[in-house]
Amino acid sequence: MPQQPSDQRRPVEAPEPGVYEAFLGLYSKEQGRIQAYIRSLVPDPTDADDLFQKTSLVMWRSFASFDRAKPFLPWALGVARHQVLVHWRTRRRDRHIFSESFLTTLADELGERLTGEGPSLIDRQRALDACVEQLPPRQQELIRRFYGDNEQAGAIAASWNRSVHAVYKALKVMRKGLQQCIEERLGQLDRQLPGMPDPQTSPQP
Amino acid sequence: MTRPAPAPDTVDGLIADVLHGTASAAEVGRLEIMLREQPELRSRYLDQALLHAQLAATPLAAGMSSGSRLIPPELGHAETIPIGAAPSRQPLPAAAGQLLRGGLVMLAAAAVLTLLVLPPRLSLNRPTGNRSPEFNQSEVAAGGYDNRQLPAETVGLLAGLPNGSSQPLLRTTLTAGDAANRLTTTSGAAVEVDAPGLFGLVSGGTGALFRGGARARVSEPEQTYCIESGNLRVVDLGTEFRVNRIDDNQVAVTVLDGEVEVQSRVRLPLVHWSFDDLATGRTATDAIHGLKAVAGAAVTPAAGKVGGAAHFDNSREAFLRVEGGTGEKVGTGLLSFSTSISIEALIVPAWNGTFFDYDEIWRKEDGNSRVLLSFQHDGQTHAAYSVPAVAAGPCLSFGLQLAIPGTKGPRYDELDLPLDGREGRPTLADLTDGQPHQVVASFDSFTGIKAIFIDGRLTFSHTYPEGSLIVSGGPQPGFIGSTRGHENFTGTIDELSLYDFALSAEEVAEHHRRLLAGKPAVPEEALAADPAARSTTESRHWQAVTRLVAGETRIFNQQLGLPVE
Repeated sequence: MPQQPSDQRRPVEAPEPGVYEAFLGLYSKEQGRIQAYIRSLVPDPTDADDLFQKTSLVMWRSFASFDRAKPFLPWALGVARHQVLVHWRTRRRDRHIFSESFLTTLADELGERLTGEGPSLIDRQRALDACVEQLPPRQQELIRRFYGDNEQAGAIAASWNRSVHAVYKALKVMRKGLQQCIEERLGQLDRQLPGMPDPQTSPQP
Repeated sequence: MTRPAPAPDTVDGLIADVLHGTASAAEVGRLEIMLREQPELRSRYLDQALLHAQLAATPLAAGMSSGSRLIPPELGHAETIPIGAAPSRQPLPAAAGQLLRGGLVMLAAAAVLTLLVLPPRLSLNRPTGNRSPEFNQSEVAAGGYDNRQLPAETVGLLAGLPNGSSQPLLRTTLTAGDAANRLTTTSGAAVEVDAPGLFGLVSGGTGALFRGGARARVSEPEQTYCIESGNLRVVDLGTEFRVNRIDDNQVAVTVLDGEVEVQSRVRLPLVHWSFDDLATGRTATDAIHGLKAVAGAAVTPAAGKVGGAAHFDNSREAFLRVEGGTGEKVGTGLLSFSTSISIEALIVPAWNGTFFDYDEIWRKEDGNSRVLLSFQHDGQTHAAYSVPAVAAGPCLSFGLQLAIPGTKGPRYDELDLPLDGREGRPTLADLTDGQPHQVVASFDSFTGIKAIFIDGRLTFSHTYPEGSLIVSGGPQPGFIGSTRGHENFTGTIDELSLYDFALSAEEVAEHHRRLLAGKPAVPEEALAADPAARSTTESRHWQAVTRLVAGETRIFNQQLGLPVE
């Protein structure tokens, strides 16, 4: 009796004509949001990168089941949500993390935020980019090293001759300032849009 | 009873600790209670988490200026410099630049291309420091797909620029036009390249003559310099000599003062792992230099066609990490290849060829100066790095960072052998039939030919301009069957050899015959012969042919490494 092929040896399935291009088009458009979604829920960059790649692979494999008449992003975030929750379930033993039910709540609220109304991720990113440009060189170096090169805080601390705690604190303070800056810029953007109420003059709830 | 509202700083501190992964279990629990009870704090948490995510996508973090958000970041750290030209940064590939400029949506498009077709074959994976103790912090920082531009070895100073200044040179091929060119190497030699000519600055102590002639002079006893041409090398033993390429086969060596030693290449591997020793331990030791490759937990010994083999189960622990062979900078270390390379492996692959999947055979990733041989499937139709362009599908990929004469900087290219069964190429099924297969990837600066051989036969190739140099080597460890714990191999690797020259088609075929007969590609006695005589790296790979003294001129066959009588 011939041996059943294992998943490892599963032959490559040729996609239907046009499927590859369709997937690529939708994926290209939403990839930034999917990546932001995962990284928001999985702060460790290496884990997040792993999950992003895994999610992409799962999306591609299950793309045939996707109803192309429906929006792609909610479906994609659904796939990512599942991967994130599975990830935390398997990492529960070695990480201090939120409970699964609360992670589910966070994942759902973040998904609503990314697919719903409100400032788009693109607007946020543009605002953030502009805010980052205004930072002093030291803070820009911190972004480059911590977020760009994924250097550990300990390594940065050693090169700066500071404590690890000081580096973490610098990151916290910097993000707080950036968050304020983003909100101000997004507020200005709202005011510039025709037909939108000016938050400065409109009555507040 | 209403819980008192926590101070904002307390909440922000806890959020930061969670995002940094430094919060204790008690702190995580405390924050969860706060966030569960107060939606506005939950919104604040998501703001911070999203900011944490988006900071990694800023141009600054990606290593580029705003307005030119590019994936991958600009490549290159060595230059291929026409003589007299001002140094220039390597431009991005035009297509990539056009594609990637213009906002976040285009970033997303570019990034997916990155994922689907470009370096994601190099993938976005990054191993975590706390997951596997085998990886140190610098490797973790470097990431799985390391596109950083690491510091490279300075090989010399080019004199006589229009403004009278000198220009530091990295690994470079000088294309001499109308005028002779003078430079000082970091080993202290004064080198003059004839015009017209083509001369590669391989390292501070070595040059490669591709066309024309070159003269070298050392004035201090401790200074050294040698000039390679094919299988021939002229080593300065003091004072001054010149080498001229007569044609593709012959070179003339003239000693102007002092003495030189003419050497021929020993055509043996630079390193060779048989994996026989995995049967008794967790380390595979290279037969030439003793470089140890330490096995991850999922590598198991297996019976091979030639002695023992290493079995990889595709899991994250299925890798062998090479200890040593590194150097402080790009262009240094034993595993730094410059003019030529061959990677030869005997494998029984079980890769499934799935879209997005990768199985590495060999990979050393020193920033964007990487060398890899791997199975890949990531949609090469769109791959700017696939040279020549091939149709999408599973392939065997051979990647090198090359400094190409006539271009403004090095670039990373992959020769992707489509596993499509066309034009004599194998299919994936052919290679995953459970039988051992010889795969050889080679590049030769002297011919410009980059090639992949399967089972003794040339299967796919591309020709670059003569004089193109490999930019490789540096501080990162080499990996067998993995890239830093990712893209792990499936199946067995029976033998693996790296050569610092391009195996000829005849040599590949002969090796294949030997492997089929269950013998090592290179006779074991040749690898082990006369260890006393091979006490140094130099003597292992070059052997003296003759010495010439002042006033002598002699012609040599550079292919054979022997004098022409």
